[in-house]
Amino acid sequence: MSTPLLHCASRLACIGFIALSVCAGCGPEQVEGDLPFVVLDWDETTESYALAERSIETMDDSTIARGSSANLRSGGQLSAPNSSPETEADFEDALRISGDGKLAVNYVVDDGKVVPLDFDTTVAFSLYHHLERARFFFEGYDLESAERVGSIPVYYRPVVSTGLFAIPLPVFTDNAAYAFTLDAFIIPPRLFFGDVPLAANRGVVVHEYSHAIFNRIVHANRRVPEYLFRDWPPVAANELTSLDEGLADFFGALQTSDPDFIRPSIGPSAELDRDLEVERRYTASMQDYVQRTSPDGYDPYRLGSVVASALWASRDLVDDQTLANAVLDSMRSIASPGPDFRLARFVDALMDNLDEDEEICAIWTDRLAAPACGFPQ
Amino acid sequence: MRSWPKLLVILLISFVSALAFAQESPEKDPSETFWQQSMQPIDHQWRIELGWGGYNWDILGDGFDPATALRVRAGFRWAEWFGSLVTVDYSWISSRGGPLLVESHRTNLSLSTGLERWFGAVRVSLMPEIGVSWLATHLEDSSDNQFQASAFSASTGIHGGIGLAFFQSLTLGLDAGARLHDRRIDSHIVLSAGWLF
Repeated sequence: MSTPLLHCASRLACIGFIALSVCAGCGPEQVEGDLPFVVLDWDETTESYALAERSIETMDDSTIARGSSANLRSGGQLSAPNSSPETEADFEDALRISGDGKLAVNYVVDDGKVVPLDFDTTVAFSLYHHLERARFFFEGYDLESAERVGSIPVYYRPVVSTGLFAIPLPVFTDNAAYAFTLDAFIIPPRLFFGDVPLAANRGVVVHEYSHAIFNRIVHANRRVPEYLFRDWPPVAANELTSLDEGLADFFGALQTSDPDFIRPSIGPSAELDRDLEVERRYTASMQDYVQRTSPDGYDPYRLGSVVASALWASRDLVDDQTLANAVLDSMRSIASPGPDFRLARFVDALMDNLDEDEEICAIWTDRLAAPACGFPQ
Repeated sequence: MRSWPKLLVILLISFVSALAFAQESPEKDPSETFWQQSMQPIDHQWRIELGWGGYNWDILGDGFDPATALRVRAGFRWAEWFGSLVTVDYSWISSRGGPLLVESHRTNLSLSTGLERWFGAVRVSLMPEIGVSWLATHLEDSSDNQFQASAFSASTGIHGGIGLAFFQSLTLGLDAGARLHDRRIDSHIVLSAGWLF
Protein backbone atom coordinates (compact mmCIF):
# COMPACT_ATOMS: atom_id res chain seq x y z
CA MET A 1 0.00 0.00 0.00
CA SER A 2 1.40 3.41 -0.92
CA THR A 3 2.21 5.87 1.86
CA PRO A 4 -0.39 8.56 0.91
CA LEU A 5 -3.08 5.91 0.70
CA LEU A 6 -2.02 4.53 4.08
CA HIS A 7 -2.15 8.00 5.61
CA CYS A 8 -5.58 8.58 4.17
CA ALA A 9 -6.82 5.25 5.48
CA SER A 10 -5.41 5.88 8.93
CA ARG A 11 -7.02 9.35 9.05
CA LEU A 12 -10.35 7.91 8.01
CA ALA A 13 -9.99 5.25 10.69
CA CYS A 14 -9.25 7.91 13.31
CA ILE A 15 -12.23 10.01 12.26
CA GLY A 16 -14.44 6.93 12.29
CA PHE A 17 -13.19 5.96 15.73
CA ILE A 18 -13.86 9.42 17.15
CA ALA A 19 -17.30 9.62 15.51
CA LEU A 20 -18.37 6.22 16.77
CA SER A 21 -16.95 6.97 20.21
CA VAL A 22 -19.05 10.12 20.39
CA CYS A 23 -22.11 8.19 19.18
CA ALA A 24 -21.51 5.48 21.76
CA GLY A 25 -21.96 8.06 24.49
CA CYS A 26 -25.32 9.09 23.08
CA GLY A 27 -28.61 7.85 24.39
CA PRO A 28 -31.97 7.41 22.77
CA GLU A 29 -33.71 10.35 21.16
CA GLN A 30 -36.08 12.55 23.10
CA VAL A 31 -39.68 11.34 22.86
CA GLU A 32 -41.74 13.88 20.94
CA GLY A 33 -45.49 14.20 21.22
CA ASP A 34 -47.88 12.34 23.47
CA LEU A 35 -46.69 8.82 22.86
CA PRO A 36 -47.65 6.24 25.48
CA PHE A 37 -44.96 4.55 27.55
CA VAL A 38 -44.91 0.83 28.33
CA VAL A 39 -44.95 0.62 32.13
CA LEU A 40 -45.85 -1.85 34.85
CA ASP A 41 -49.10 -0.67 36.38
CA TRP A 42 -51.89 -1.83 38.63
CA ASP A 43 -54.84 -3.20 36.70
CA GLU A 44 -57.94 -2.69 38.83
CA THR A 45 -60.03 -5.09 36.74
CA THR A 46 -57.69 -8.06 37.12
CA GLU A 47 -56.33 -6.82 40.48
CA SER A 48 -52.79 -7.51 39.41
CA TYR A 49 -49.77 -5.71 38.00
CA ALA A 50 -49.42 -5.89 34.24
CA LEU A 51 -47.59 -4.19 31.39
CA ALA A 52 -49.68 -1.40 29.97
CA GLU A 53 -49.38 1.58 27.65
CA ARG A 54 -49.77 4.72 29.75
CA SER A 55 -49.43 8.39 28.95
CA ILE A 56 -46.81 10.37 30.86
CA GLU A 57 -47.63 14.05 30.57
CA THR A 58 -45.00 15.84 32.64
CA MET A 59 -41.71 14.28 31.55
CA ASP A 60 -39.73 17.10 29.96
CA ASP A 61 -36.64 15.03 29.15
CA SER A 62 -37.37 11.38 28.48
CA THR A 63 -33.69 10.56 27.92
CA ILE A 64 -32.99 11.05 31.64
CA ALA A 65 -36.53 10.60 33.03
CA ARG A 66 -36.80 14.13 34.33
CA GLY A 67 -39.86 16.31 34.47
CA SER A 68 -42.04 18.49 36.61
CA SER A 69 -43.24 15.50 38.65
CA ALA A 70 -39.84 14.03 39.51
CA ASN A 71 -36.17 14.22 38.74
CA LEU A 72 -34.84 10.67 38.63
CA ARG A 73 -31.18 10.44 39.56
CA SER A 74 -28.84 7.53 39.07
CA GLY A 75 -26.94 5.85 41.85
CA GLY A 76 -24.93 7.95 44.23
CA GLN A 77 -23.61 7.08 47.65
CA LEU A 78 -25.67 7.57 50.77
CA SER A 79 -23.74 8.39 53.88
CA ALA A 80 -24.60 9.35 57.44
CA PRO A 81 -21.77 11.58 58.64
CA ASN A 82 -23.32 12.01 62.08
CA SER A 83 -24.48 8.73 63.61
CA SER A 84 -26.09 10.35 66.67
CA PRO A 85 -27.64 13.68 65.65
CA GLU A 86 -29.15 15.80 68.41
CA THR A 87 -29.76 19.31 67.17
CA GLU A 88 -31.85 20.44 64.21
CA ALA A 89 -28.65 21.25 62.31
CA ASP A 90 -27.31 17.76 63.08
CA PHE A 91 -30.47 16.17 61.68
CA GLU A 92 -30.43 18.36 58.59
CA ASP A 93 -27.00 16.96 57.83
CA ALA A 94 -27.74 13.44 59.04
CA LEU A 95 -28.02 12.01 55.55
CA ARG A 96 -25.97 12.94 52.54
CA ILE A 97 -25.92 11.71 48.99
CA SER A 98 -23.07 12.26 46.58
CA GLY A 99 -21.87 11.04 43.24
CA ASP A 100 -25.31 10.71 41.71
CA GLY A 101 -25.81 11.34 38.02
CA LYS A 102 -28.35 11.54 35.28
CA LEU A 103 -30.42 8.40 34.83
CA ALA A 104 -29.33 6.90 31.50
CA VAL A 105 -32.57 5.18 30.56
CA ASN A 106 -32.61 3.12 27.39
CA TYR A 107 -35.67 2.79 25.20
CA VAL A 108 -36.88 2.89 21.65
CA VAL A 109 -39.98 4.35 20.03
CA ASP A 110 -41.63 1.44 18.30
CA ASP A 111 -45.00 1.40 16.59
CA GLY A 112 -46.14 4.60 18.25
CA LYS A 113 -45.15 3.74 21.81
CA VAL A 114 -42.09 4.05 24.01
CA VAL A 115 -40.74 0.59 24.80
CA PRO A 116 -38.04 0.20 27.48
CA LEU A 117 -34.99 -1.80 26.43
CA ASP A 118 -34.09 -3.14 29.87
CA PHE A 119 -35.58 -4.06 33.22
CA ASP A 120 -34.43 -0.96 35.07
CA THR A 121 -35.76 1.42 32.44
CA THR A 122 -39.12 -0.36 32.72
CA VAL A 123 -39.06 0.20 36.48
CA ALA A 124 -37.84 3.80 36.10
CA PHE A 125 -40.61 4.72 33.66
CA SER A 126 -43.16 2.95 35.87
CA LEU A 127 -41.84 4.90 38.86
CA TYR A 128 -42.12 8.22 37.04
CA HIS A 129 -45.61 7.33 35.86
CA HIS A 130 -46.72 6.47 39.39
CA LEU A 131 -45.18 9.65 40.83
CA GLU A 132 -47.05 11.64 38.21
CA ARG A 133 -50.29 9.86 39.10
CA ALA A 134 -49.62 10.55 42.79
CA ARG A 135 -49.11 14.20 41.98
CA PHE A 136 -52.33 14.41 39.95
CA PHE A 137 -54.14 12.54 42.71
CA PHE A 138 -53.13 14.96 45.47
CA GLU A 139 -53.34 18.09 43.35
CA GLY A 140 -56.88 17.07 42.52
CA TYR A 141 -57.71 18.06 46.10
CA ASP A 142 -56.88 21.74 45.69
CA LEU A 143 -53.53 21.79 47.40
CA GLU A 144 -52.10 25.23 47.97
CA SER A 145 -48.84 25.96 46.17
CA ALA A 146 -46.77 25.54 49.35
CA GLU A 147 -48.34 22.13 49.89
CA ARG A 148 -47.40 20.80 46.46
CA VAL A 149 -44.41 18.52 46.16
CA GLY A 150 -43.09 19.63 42.77
CA SER A 151 -40.18 17.98 41.02
CA ILE A 152 -38.06 16.50 43.77
CA PRO A 153 -35.07 14.17 43.31
CA VAL A 154 -35.57 10.43 43.21
CA TYR A 155 -32.33 8.55 43.82
CA TYR A 156 -32.47 5.26 41.96
CA ARG A 157 -30.30 2.48 43.40
CA PRO A 158 -27.93 4.44 45.64
CA VAL A 159 -25.50 2.49 47.77
CA VAL A 160 -24.58 3.12 51.37
CA SER A 161 -21.03 4.12 52.19
CA THR A 162 -20.07 2.25 55.28
CA GLY A 163 -17.23 0.46 56.97
CA LEU A 164 -13.63 1.37 57.61
CA PHE A 165 -12.86 2.81 54.18
CA ALA A 166 -16.39 4.04 53.40
CA ILE A 167 -16.73 1.25 50.86
CA PRO A 168 -20.05 1.54 49.03
CA LEU A 169 -22.14 -1.50 49.89
CA PRO A 170 -25.75 -2.39 49.14
CA VAL A 171 -26.70 -2.68 52.84
CA PHE A 172 -29.87 -0.62 52.35
CA THR A 173 -31.94 -2.68 49.94
CA ASP A 174 -35.48 -3.63 48.91
CA ASN A 175 -37.22 -0.47 50.01
CA ALA A 176 -38.70 2.78 48.83
CA ALA A 177 -38.54 5.77 51.11
CA TYR A 178 -39.15 9.47 51.42
CA ALA A 179 -36.15 11.05 53.15
CA PHE A 180 -37.46 14.26 54.66
CA THR A 181 -34.03 15.71 55.42
CA LEU A 182 -33.11 15.40 51.75
CA ASP A 183 -36.66 16.07 50.58
CA ALA A 184 -36.12 13.23 48.13
CA PHE A 185 -37.29 9.74 47.38
CA ILE A 186 -34.78 6.93 47.70
CA ILE A 187 -35.11 3.68 45.76
CA PRO A 188 -32.33 1.37 46.99
CA PRO A 189 -31.22 -1.72 45.04
CA ARG A 190 -33.57 -4.70 44.93
CA LEU A 191 -31.78 -7.80 46.15
CA PHE A 192 -34.16 -10.09 48.02
CA PHE A 193 -37.73 -9.27 46.99
CA GLY A 194 -38.63 -11.17 43.84
CA ASP A 195 -42.10 -9.74 43.41
CA VAL A 196 -43.27 -6.43 41.94
CA PRO A 197 -40.44 -3.94 42.53
CA LEU A 198 -41.48 -1.44 45.20
CA ALA A 199 -40.63 1.39 42.82
CA ALA A 200 -43.10 -0.02 40.30
CA ASN A 201 -45.84 -0.53 42.91
CA ARG A 202 -48.20 2.41 42.45
CA GLY A 203 -49.66 2.11 45.94
CA VAL A 204 -46.19 2.19 47.50
CA VAL A 205 -45.22 5.23 45.41
CA VAL A 206 -48.39 7.09 46.44
CA HIS A 207 -47.64 6.08 50.05
CA GLU A 208 -44.19 7.68 49.84
CA TYR A 209 -45.58 10.71 48.05
CA SER A 210 -48.04 11.11 50.92
CA HIS A 211 -45.10 11.47 53.32
CA ALA A 212 -43.85 14.41 51.25
CA ILE A 213 -47.34 15.95 51.39
CA PHE A 214 -47.48 15.33 55.17
CA ASN A 215 -44.10 17.01 55.55
CA ARG A 216 -45.33 20.08 53.73
CA ILE A 217 -48.73 20.40 55.40
CA VAL A 218 -48.11 19.17 58.95
CA HIS A 219 -44.45 20.06 59.40
CA ALA A 220 -44.75 23.29 57.41
CA ASN A 221 -42.18 22.04 54.91
CA ARG A 222 -39.45 21.89 57.55
CA ARG A 223 -36.74 19.40 56.66
CA VAL A 224 -36.55 18.17 60.24
CA PRO A 225 -39.73 17.54 62.28
CA GLU A 226 -39.59 19.08 65.73
CA TYR A 227 -40.08 15.84 67.66
CA LEU A 228 -36.66 14.65 66.48
CA PHE A 229 -34.62 17.35 68.22
CA ARG A 230 -36.98 18.63 70.96
CA ASP A 231 -37.81 16.80 74.14
CA TRP A 232 -41.24 15.42 73.30
CA PRO A 233 -42.96 12.72 75.34
CA PRO A 234 -42.83 9.40 73.44
CA VAL A 235 -46.60 9.25 73.03
CA ALA A 236 -46.67 12.54 71.10
CA ALA A 237 -43.85 11.63 68.74
CA ASN A 238 -45.05 8.05 68.29
CA GLU A 239 -48.68 8.93 67.59
CA LEU A 240 -47.54 11.58 65.09
CA THR A 241 -45.31 9.18 63.15
CA SER A 242 -48.05 6.54 63.20
CA LEU A 243 -50.53 9.10 61.87
CA ASP A 244 -48.07 9.86 59.05
CA GLU A 245 -47.79 6.17 58.17
CA GLY A 246 -51.52 5.54 58.51
CA LEU A 247 -52.48 8.40 56.23
CA ALA A 248 -49.84 7.28 53.71
CA ASP A 249 -51.33 3.77 53.69
CA PHE A 250 -54.81 5.21 53.31
CA PHE A 251 -53.87 7.40 50.35
CA GLY A 252 -51.95 4.53 48.72
CA ALA A 253 -54.99 2.30 49.01
CA LEU A 254 -57.40 5.03 47.94
CA GLN A 255 -55.45 5.90 44.78
CA THR A 256 -55.16 2.27 43.69
CA SER A 257 -58.50 1.05 45.12
CA ASP A 258 -56.46 -1.75 46.64
CA PRO A 259 -56.56 -1.98 50.45
CA ASP A 260 -53.61 -4.38 50.48
CA PHE A 261 -51.50 -2.53 47.90
CA ILE A 262 -48.17 -3.61 49.35
CA ARG A 263 -48.96 -7.34 48.97
CA PRO A 264 -47.93 -7.64 45.25
CA SER A 265 -44.43 -6.55 46.28
CA ILE A 266 -43.92 -8.78 49.30
CA GLY A 267 -45.68 -11.95 48.22
CA PRO A 268 -48.73 -13.73 49.58
CA SER A 269 -46.87 -15.50 52.39
CA ALA A 270 -45.05 -12.50 53.89
CA GLU A 271 -45.82 -11.78 57.53
CA LEU A 272 -46.13 -8.04 57.01
CA ASP A 273 -49.81 -7.27 57.54
CA ARG A 274 -51.00 -3.84 56.46
CA ASP A 275 -54.29 -4.83 54.82
CA LEU A 276 -56.73 -1.96 55.35
CA GLU A 277 -59.71 -4.30 55.11
CA VAL A 278 -58.72 -5.87 58.43
CA GLU A 279 -60.49 -4.40 61.43
CA ARG A 280 -57.86 -3.06 63.81
CA ARG A 281 -58.14 -1.40 67.20
CA TYR A 282 -55.98 0.82 69.35
CA THR A 283 -55.96 -1.68 72.17
CA ALA A 284 -54.79 -1.08 75.73
CA SER A 285 -51.60 -3.04 75.09
CA MET A 286 -50.89 -1.00 71.99
CA GLN A 287 -51.52 2.22 73.93
CA ASP A 288 -49.06 1.02 76.51
CA TYR A 289 -46.54 0.27 73.75
CA VAL A 290 -47.02 3.73 72.20
CA GLN A 291 -46.66 5.52 75.51
CA ARG A 292 -43.63 3.65 76.76
CA THR A 293 -41.53 3.01 73.69
CA SER A 294 -38.75 5.39 72.78
CA PRO A 295 -39.30 6.95 69.34
CA ASP A 296 -35.93 5.51 68.24
CA GLY A 297 -37.19 1.94 68.52
CA TYR A 298 -40.86 2.54 67.82
CA ASP A 299 -42.73 0.68 65.06
CA PRO A 300 -45.14 3.29 63.67
CA TYR A 301 -46.97 0.84 61.41
CA ARG A 302 -48.96 -0.93 64.14
CA LEU A 303 -50.95 2.13 65.19
CA GLY A 304 -50.70 3.50 61.67
CA SER A 305 -52.59 0.48 60.38
CA VAL A 306 -55.36 1.19 62.90
CA VAL A 307 -55.73 4.72 61.54
CA ALA A 308 -55.62 3.52 57.94
CA SER A 309 -58.18 0.76 58.48
CA ALA A 310 -60.55 3.16 60.29
CA LEU A 311 -60.31 5.57 57.37
CA TRP A 312 -60.88 2.74 54.92
CA ALA A 313 -63.95 1.60 56.85
CA SER A 314 -65.27 5.18 56.76
CA ARG A 315 -65.48 4.94 52.96
CA ASP A 316 -68.65 2.91 53.40
CA LEU A 317 -70.33 6.04 54.75
CA VAL A 318 -68.80 8.89 52.80
CA ASP A 319 -67.51 9.28 49.26
CA ASP A 320 -63.78 9.16 48.56
CA GLN A 321 -63.53 12.79 47.49
CA THR A 322 -65.18 14.11 50.66
CA LEU A 323 -63.15 11.79 52.87
CA ALA A 324 -59.81 12.67 51.26
CA ASN A 325 -60.59 16.39 51.47
CA ALA A 326 -61.53 15.97 55.13
CA VAL A 327 -58.23 14.16 55.81
CA LEU A 328 -56.21 16.90 54.14
CA ASP A 329 -58.14 19.61 56.02
CA SER A 330 -57.51 17.73 59.26
CA MET A 331 -53.80 17.61 58.46
CA ARG A 332 -53.93 21.40 58.11
CA SER A 333 -55.72 21.58 61.48
CA ILE A 334 -52.84 19.90 63.27
CA ALA A 335 -50.08 21.80 61.43
CA SER A 336 -46.88 22.53 63.36
CA PRO A 337 -47.68 20.18 66.23
CA GLY A 338 -45.97 20.50 69.59
CA PRO A 339 -45.16 18.10 72.44
CA ASP A 340 -48.81 18.08 73.50
CA PHE A 341 -49.84 16.46 70.22
CA ARG A 342 -52.17 13.48 70.47
CA LEU A 343 -53.78 11.39 67.77
CA ALA A 344 -57.17 12.34 69.19
CA ARG A 345 -56.58 15.88 68.00
CA PHE A 346 -56.45 14.70 64.41
CA VAL A 347 -59.49 12.49 64.88
CA ASP A 348 -61.39 15.37 66.40
CA ALA A 349 -60.54 17.59 63.43
CA LEU A 350 -61.52 14.81 61.02
CA MET A 351 -64.90 14.37 62.66
CA ASP A 352 -65.46 18.12 62.51
CA ASN A 353 -64.62 18.09 58.82
CA LEU A 354 -67.04 15.22 58.28
CA ASP A 355 -69.81 17.11 60.11
CA GLU A 356 -69.65 14.65 63.00
CA ASP A 357 -71.46 11.94 61.08
CA GLU A 358 -72.69 9.63 63.84
CA GLU A 359 -71.90 6.38 62.06
CA ILE A 360 -68.36 7.50 61.24
CA CYS A 361 -67.94 8.66 64.83
CA ALA A 362 -69.02 5.22 65.95
CA ILE A 363 -66.34 3.57 63.81
CA TRP A 364 -63.58 5.77 65.22
CA THR A 365 -64.85 5.49 68.77
CA ASP A 366 -64.80 1.73 68.43
CA ARG A 367 -61.44 1.45 66.66
CA LEU A 368 -59.55 3.96 68.79
CA ALA A 369 -61.21 3.00 72.08
CA ALA A 370 -61.87 6.68 72.75
CA PRO A 371 -64.83 9.01 72.21
CA ALA A 372 -64.32 10.53 68.80
CA CYS A 373 -67.16 13.02 68.61
CA GLY A 374 -68.74 15.54 70.88
CA PHE A 375 -66.14 15.32 73.62
CA PRO A 376 -63.40 17.85 74.13
CA GLN A 377 -59.91 16.36 74.11
CA MET B 1 -6.46 -61.24 16.17
CA ARG B 2 -8.63 -59.22 18.50
CA SER B 3 -5.68 -56.86 19.22
CA TRP B 4 -5.47 -55.73 15.55
CA PRO B 5 -8.15 -53.03 15.77
CA LYS B 6 -6.46 -51.57 18.85
CA LEU B 7 -3.11 -51.59 17.11
CA LEU B 8 -4.61 -49.87 14.08
CA VAL B 9 -6.11 -47.17 16.25
CA ILE B 10 -2.78 -46.61 18.01
CA LEU B 11 -0.98 -46.40 14.68
CA LEU B 12 -3.55 -43.95 13.32
CA ILE B 13 -3.27 -41.72 16.39
CA SER B 14 0.52 -41.85 16.20
CA PHE B 15 0.41 -40.86 12.53
CA VAL B 16 -1.94 -37.94 13.13
CA SER B 17 0.12 -36.84 16.13
CA ALA B 18 3.27 -37.04 14.11
CA LEU B 19 1.72 -34.76 11.50
CA ALA B 20 0.49 -32.35 14.12
CA PHE B 21 3.83 -32.25 15.88
CA ALA B 22 5.86 -32.15 12.72
CA GLN B 23 8.46 -29.39 12.70
CA GLU B 24 9.65 -27.61 9.61
CA SER B 25 13.18 -28.02 10.83
CA PRO B 26 14.17 -31.62 11.06
CA GLU B 27 16.80 -30.75 13.59
CA LYS B 28 15.53 -31.34 17.09
CA ASP B 29 17.36 -30.73 20.26
CA PRO B 30 16.92 -33.91 22.27
CA SER B 31 17.39 -31.97 25.50
CA GLU B 32 14.19 -29.91 24.90
CA THR B 33 11.37 -30.67 27.30
CA PHE B 34 7.81 -31.31 26.20
CA TRP B 35 6.81 -27.74 27.17
CA GLN B 36 9.77 -26.25 25.30
CA GLN B 37 8.75 -28.21 22.23
CA SER B 38 5.07 -27.40 22.49
CA MET B 39 5.37 -23.68 23.30
CA GLN B 40 7.75 -22.51 20.66
CA PRO B 41 7.76 -19.04 19.19
CA ILE B 42 4.94 -18.73 16.73
CA ASP B 43 5.09 -17.45 13.22
CA HIS B 44 1.60 -16.69 12.06
CA GLN B 45 -0.50 -13.84 10.74
CA TRP B 46 -4.05 -15.04 11.31
CA ARG B 47 -5.90 -16.02 14.47
CA ILE B 48 -9.44 -17.37 14.87
CA GLU B 49 -10.93 -17.89 18.32
CA LEU B 50 -14.08 -19.02 20.05
CA GLY B 51 -14.65 -17.70 23.53
CA TRP B 52 -16.82 -18.00 26.60
CA GLY B 53 -16.88 -15.86 29.67
CA GLY B 54 -18.55 -13.34 31.89
CA TYR B 55 -20.30 -10.21 30.71
CA ASN B 56 -21.37 -7.57 33.18
CA TRP B 57 -24.31 -5.50 32.00
CA ASP B 58 -24.13 -1.95 33.26
CA ILE B 59 -27.56 -1.27 34.71
CA LEU B 60 -29.14 1.92 35.99
CA GLY B 61 -27.82 3.24 39.25
CA ASP B 62 -24.15 2.40 38.72
CA GLY B 63 -24.83 -1.29 39.17
CA PHE B 64 -23.79 -4.36 37.25
CA ASP B 65 -25.68 -7.50 36.39
CA PRO B 66 -23.51 -10.49 35.55
CA ALA B 67 -24.31 -12.68 32.56
CA THR B 68 -22.62 -14.98 30.10
CA ALA B 69 -20.78 -13.94 26.96
CA LEU B 70 -20.06 -15.94 23.83
CA ARG B 71 -17.42 -14.76 21.38
CA VAL B 72 -16.16 -15.34 17.86
CA ARG B 73 -13.01 -13.46 16.97
CA ALA B 74 -10.68 -13.22 13.99
CA GLY B 75 -7.35 -11.47 14.12
CA PHE B 76 -4.62 -10.44 11.73
CA ARG B 77 -1.08 -9.46 12.65
CA TRP B 78 0.16 -6.61 10.51
CA ALA B 79 3.57 -6.26 12.07
CA GLU B 80 5.58 -7.44 15.03
CA TRP B 81 3.84 -5.02 17.43
CA PHE B 82 0.61 -4.39 15.59
CA GLY B 83 -2.56 -6.33 14.95
CA SER B 84 -6.27 -6.01 14.26
CA LEU B 85 -9.28 -7.97 15.44
CA VAL B 86 -12.87 -8.41 14.35
CA THR B 87 -15.00 -9.62 17.24
CA VAL B 88 -18.60 -10.68 17.61
CA ASP B 89 -19.80 -10.88 21.20
CA TYR B 90 -23.20 -12.13 22.25
CA SER B 91 -24.69 -11.90 25.72
CA TRP B 92 -28.17 -12.22 27.14
CA ILE B 93 -29.81 -11.35 30.41
CA SER B 94 -33.13 -12.09 32.03
CA SER B 95 -34.66 -10.12 34.91
CA ARG B 96 -37.88 -10.85 36.71
CA GLY B 97 -39.92 -8.81 39.16
CA GLY B 98 -43.21 -10.42 40.10
CA PRO B 99 -45.27 -10.73 36.91
CA LEU B 100 -42.71 -8.78 34.87
CA LEU B 101 -40.10 -10.60 32.82
CA VAL B 102 -37.57 -8.68 30.74
CA GLU B 103 -35.14 -10.54 28.49
CA SER B 104 -32.43 -8.67 26.63
CA HIS B 105 -30.02 -9.97 24.00
CA ARG B 106 -27.03 -7.95 22.95
CA THR B 107 -24.86 -8.68 19.92
CA ASN B 108 -21.81 -6.54 19.38
CA LEU B 109 -19.64 -6.40 16.28
CA SER B 110 -16.40 -4.57 16.89
CA LEU B 111 -13.19 -3.76 15.09
CA SER B 112 -10.08 -3.20 17.13
CA THR B 113 -6.57 -2.27 16.14
CA GLY B 114 -3.57 -1.78 18.33
CA LEU B 115 -0.81 -3.44 20.23
CA GLU B 116 -0.39 -7.16 19.71
CA ARG B 117 2.97 -8.63 20.51
CA TRP B 118 4.10 -12.22 20.81
CA PHE B 119 6.99 -12.91 23.14
CA GLY B 120 7.80 -16.41 22.08
CA ALA B 121 4.63 -18.33 22.73
CA VAL B 122 3.10 -15.62 24.91
CA ARG B 123 0.77 -12.98 23.52
CA VAL B 124 0.13 -9.58 25.03
CA SER B 125 -2.43 -7.26 23.50
CA LEU B 126 -4.07 -3.95 24.25
CA MET B 127 -6.43 -2.36 21.74
CA PRO B 128 -9.14 0.26 21.45
CA GLU B 129 -12.26 -0.84 19.61
CA ILE B 130 -15.20 0.58 17.75
CA GLY B 131 -18.31 -1.20 16.67
CA VAL B 132 -22.04 -1.48 16.50
CA SER B 133 -24.29 -3.06 19.05
CA TRP B 134 -27.72 -4.57 18.53
CA LEU B 135 -29.95 -4.86 21.55
CA ALA B 136 -33.18 -6.83 21.33
CA THR B 137 -35.53 -6.85 24.30
CA HIS B 138 -38.65 -8.82 25.04
CA LEU B 139 -41.01 -7.77 27.84
CA GLU B 140 -43.86 -9.89 29.07
CA ASP B 141 -46.06 -10.26 32.11
CA SER B 142 -48.10 -13.04 33.64
CA SER B 143 -51.22 -11.73 31.88
CA ASP B 144 -49.55 -12.58 28.57
CA ASN B 145 -49.00 -8.96 27.51
CA GLN B 146 -45.89 -8.88 25.35
CA PHE B 147 -43.74 -6.15 23.87
CA GLN B 148 -40.63 -6.45 21.70
CA ALA B 149 -38.17 -3.82 20.67
CA SER B 150 -34.67 -3.62 19.33
CA ALA B 151 -32.15 -0.91 18.58
CA PHE B 152 -28.74 -0.44 17.02
CA SER B 153 -26.18 1.74 18.72
CA ALA B 154 -22.55 2.64 18.26
CA SER B 155 -20.05 1.24 20.69
CA THR B 156 -16.50 1.93 21.66
CA GLY B 157 -14.19 0.41 24.18
CA ILE B 158 -10.84 -0.94 25.12
CA HIS B 159 -9.67 -4.46 25.76
CA GLY B 160 -6.50 -6.22 26.62
CA GLY B 161 -5.37 -9.71 27.31
CA ILE B 162 -2.79 -12.40 27.31
CA GLY B 163 -2.54 -15.64 25.39
CA LEU B 164 -0.46 -18.73 24.97
CA ALA B 165 0.36 -20.63 21.82
CA PHE B 166 0.66 -24.39 21.83
CA PHE B 167 2.20 -26.51 19.12
CA GLN B 168 2.54 -23.33 17.03
CA SER B 169 -1.05 -23.55 15.87
CA LEU B 170 -3.32 -23.63 18.91
CA THR B 171 -3.90 -20.76 21.28
CA LEU B 172 -5.62 -20.09 24.59
CA GLY B 173 -6.37 -16.54 25.62
CA LEU B 174 -7.84 -14.52 28.44
CA ASP B 175 -9.09 -11.09 27.48
CA ALA B 176 -10.90 -8.43 29.46
CA GLY B 177 -12.32 -5.12 28.45
CA ALA B 178 -14.87 -2.39 28.86
CA ARG B 179 -17.34 -1.24 26.25
CA LEU B 180 -19.38 1.96 26.10
CA HIS B 181 -22.73 2.00 24.33
CA ASP B 182 -26.09 3.63 25.04
CA ARG B 183 -24.40 5.66 27.81
CA ARG B 184 -23.61 2.42 29.65
CA ILE B 185 -20.20 0.85 30.22
CA ASP B 186 -20.33 -2.93 30.14
CA SER B 187 -17.33 -5.02 31.12
CA HIS B 188 -16.32 -8.48 30.06
CA ILE B 189 -13.73 -11.16 30.64
CA VAL B 190 -13.57 -13.99 28.15
CA LEU B 191 -11.57 -17.19 27.95
CA SER B 192 -10.97 -18.23 24.38
CA ALA B 193 -9.42 -21.02 22.35
CA GLY B 194 -8.39 -20.81 18.76
CA TRP B 195 -6.18 -21.55 15.85
CA LEU B 196 -3.14 -19.75 14.51
CA PHE B 197 -2.25 -19.90 10.84
